[in-house]
Amino acid sequence: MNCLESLDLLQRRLDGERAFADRPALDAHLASCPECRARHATALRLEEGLRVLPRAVPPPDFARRIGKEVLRERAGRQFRRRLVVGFALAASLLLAAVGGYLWLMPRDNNLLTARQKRGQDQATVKTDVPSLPKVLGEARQALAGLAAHAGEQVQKPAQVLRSAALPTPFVTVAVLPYFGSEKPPHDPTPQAVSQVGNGVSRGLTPVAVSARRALNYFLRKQPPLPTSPRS
Amino acid sequence: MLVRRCLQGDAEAIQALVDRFQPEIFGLCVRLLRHRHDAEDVTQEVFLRIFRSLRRWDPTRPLKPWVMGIAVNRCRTWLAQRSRRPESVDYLQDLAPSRPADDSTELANEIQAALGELRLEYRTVFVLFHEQGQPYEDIAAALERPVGTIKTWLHRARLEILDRLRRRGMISEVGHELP
Repeated sequence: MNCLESLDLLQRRLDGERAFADRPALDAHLASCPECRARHATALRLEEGLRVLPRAVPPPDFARRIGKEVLRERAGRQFRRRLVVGFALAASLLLAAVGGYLWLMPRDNNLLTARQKRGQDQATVKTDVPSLPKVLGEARQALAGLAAHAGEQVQKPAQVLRSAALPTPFVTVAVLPYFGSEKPPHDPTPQAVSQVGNGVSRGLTPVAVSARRALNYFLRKQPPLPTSPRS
Repeated sequence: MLVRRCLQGDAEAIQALVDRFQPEIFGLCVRLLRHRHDAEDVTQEVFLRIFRSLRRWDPTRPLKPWVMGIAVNRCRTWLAQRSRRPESVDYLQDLAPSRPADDSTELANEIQAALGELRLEYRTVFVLFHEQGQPYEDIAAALERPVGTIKTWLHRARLEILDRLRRRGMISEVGHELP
């Protein structure tokens, strides 16, 4: 055996091979070659050091802790996956419901364009909703008429009283004894009643006028009306 | 079969897989990170990643290189992150007691220190090969490198370790040039 063969055997030994068929030849070469003997001694020393190299011992119950952690993480991952699937399913069901609703809507409404729908809505507003200024004007007129009617209702009794107080053109039994005389006998009662009726009538007329003015003032103080959308 | 049961959520199978690979992954993490608590954290992360991506494992290939590849990658990432923050000193104080014999304890300590000085790739290959006894092919599969590259890295790792041992007087001056 020469040095090259010895080195080859040393390499095989370092690679883990232990059984050499030509071990006697190697021993004979090592006995005669100090350099190869030193190399083999170094390899043996390295192997000895590796053999006594302290091994890292895991802490007790380490494997069980890892197993539990793996199972816990796996369960969490499955839960998250189920959650995502559930959300996806719910979202798809919602989309299907919305799509079905839109699909089953009346065709006429579906065919209307947005502009047509807007015009239709505005027309509905015009026909169904009365104009507010118009309503207020009507209310103002109604209240004015009511005030005038109240005034008239008060004036009527006063006129009745007044007509009752005026001298009658008919000849009454009471005046017969004075027929042919120049002056009728003076009676102050009818004149007093007439004066009272005139006073009541004149007194109620300003009340009606004042009520009408107060109503107009109230209506003017109302906030401005919202403008209707333009067509 | 075990993997299939794990994929079905079998708790016993999951625990069995953890028991099967936990010593090697933890040992590798301790050697590469040189910090016991970090190694525990990374080992747990490695298993979480293994079970997260177990469906992507190719059943036609051996499981162990795939598992160890995940462990190596995770250690590499951890080391990169740790280099950006202050390093906490651990230095493997509570490793299993070695067999006391002559200067073997000192020799083991020197080898351990020499391992810590190696490049990460060399250290990984050395630990996987010499400490865990994995073949070149499996290491190459785990590191996704050609077998020739693995052999080269392993040879350089040995030379660097022996060089340190020589400087420390643990081996003779001659004969440390291994093949």
